[in-house]
Amino acid sequence: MKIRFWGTRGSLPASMNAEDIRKKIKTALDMAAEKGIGPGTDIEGFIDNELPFWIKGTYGTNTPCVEIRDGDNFVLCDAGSGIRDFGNYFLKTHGKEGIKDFHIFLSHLHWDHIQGFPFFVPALIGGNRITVYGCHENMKKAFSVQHSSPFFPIDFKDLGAEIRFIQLDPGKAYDIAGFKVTAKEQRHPGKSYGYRFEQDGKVIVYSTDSEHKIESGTDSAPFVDFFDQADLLIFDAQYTLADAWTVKKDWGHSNNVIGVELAHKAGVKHLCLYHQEPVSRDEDIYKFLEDTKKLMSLLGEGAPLEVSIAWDGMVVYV
Amino acid sequence: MDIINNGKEKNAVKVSVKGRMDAVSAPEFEQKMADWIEEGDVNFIIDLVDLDYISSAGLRSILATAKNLKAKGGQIILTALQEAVKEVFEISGFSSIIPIHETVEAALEQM
Repeated sequence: MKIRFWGTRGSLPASMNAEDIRKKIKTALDMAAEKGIGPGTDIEGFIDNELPFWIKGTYGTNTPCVEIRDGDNFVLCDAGSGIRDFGNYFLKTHGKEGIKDFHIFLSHLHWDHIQGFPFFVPALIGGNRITVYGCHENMKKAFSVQHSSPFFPIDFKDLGAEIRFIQLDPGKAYDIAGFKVTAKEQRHPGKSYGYRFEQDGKVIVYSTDSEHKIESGTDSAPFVDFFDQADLLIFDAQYTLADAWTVKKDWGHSNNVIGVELAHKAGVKHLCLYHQEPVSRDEDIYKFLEDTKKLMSLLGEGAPLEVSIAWDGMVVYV
Repeated sequence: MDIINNGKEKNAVKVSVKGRMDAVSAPEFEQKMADWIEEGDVNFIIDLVDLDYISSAGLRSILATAKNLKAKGGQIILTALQEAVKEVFEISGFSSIIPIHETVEAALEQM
């Protein structure tokens, strides 16, 4: 299976400004000068192998949307602003002809998880089928409201695609788009739901906007079970542990320390930190990943094989 | 994990913690601290020179103790963290919310 991250920021899209770009260019040029990189040298190799990701790339700006691709099934987790880029890429690569089925699983209805849908062009095209799954009762209302005046010029009922909403029961396994899918309730203002996708022995867990309280910490046996032996765990790590347990307590998000410990206990193979703090610059996120790798190494044997931090455009195969 | 009360100096109780502070042992630390606080002590210096490892459960028990002490007008100061433990405090952000000093003597000066 191929997993592509189209949006990885939490709360709201994070812009990049001229100052950020200038800093990347200056740091890259300083490093190039130090390494003697210039005309006639391997500039591509220098970029690919020597420059840290925060300098040569960016973690991105879009709010949550993850594509889980298996053959002709188009499964998406959340409809943040990243779904706009997915839709445009899809039209470029698949065209407008033929009936296409899209399955969108919603963690919850906070705006950063649905705000991209009005810009999801396949929803405008007649013949396409879009099924939105979630555990909240008022999914259709939330979509309709953001698609109505004065928020948006095109009314929800005027969209060309056939759009259905299906409410799932947490804890119950469903067969959807070739996956066994199970939802789990998570701690978040207004509740959120994580999803465990299983197919042919492979497991992907999408668990964002989920707070693990100081009282429960990692003694959260239900979450260890939910993450059990996952090949890929996409985990909300917006804050540091100190912030999550003090100034941002009850804001509904988790951190890298709890992510590492839960992944370790659950025997996860790849922990992917997700829902990045929007005020963090690329270099902050790069350091956050390096710090998390250090934590992982302190756990020693049995630790997850891989830890990464999601960026817009990142592809993972399981 | 061993938790040793090394007596009082300058109105602060000096405590040494040895071994690993994790989900199994952290409740014991929290309980012992709560017992000493119950007896009337509110200032503590915790020497971690022999602490090899701390998990989120250990951090949780330290935070709970610090909050308990703050409510009573006291404080907790940690000293002599090993490199691995220091890294956990820095990465978790706890080094900015819990006072940490290099030595017990330096901590005593803050009391």
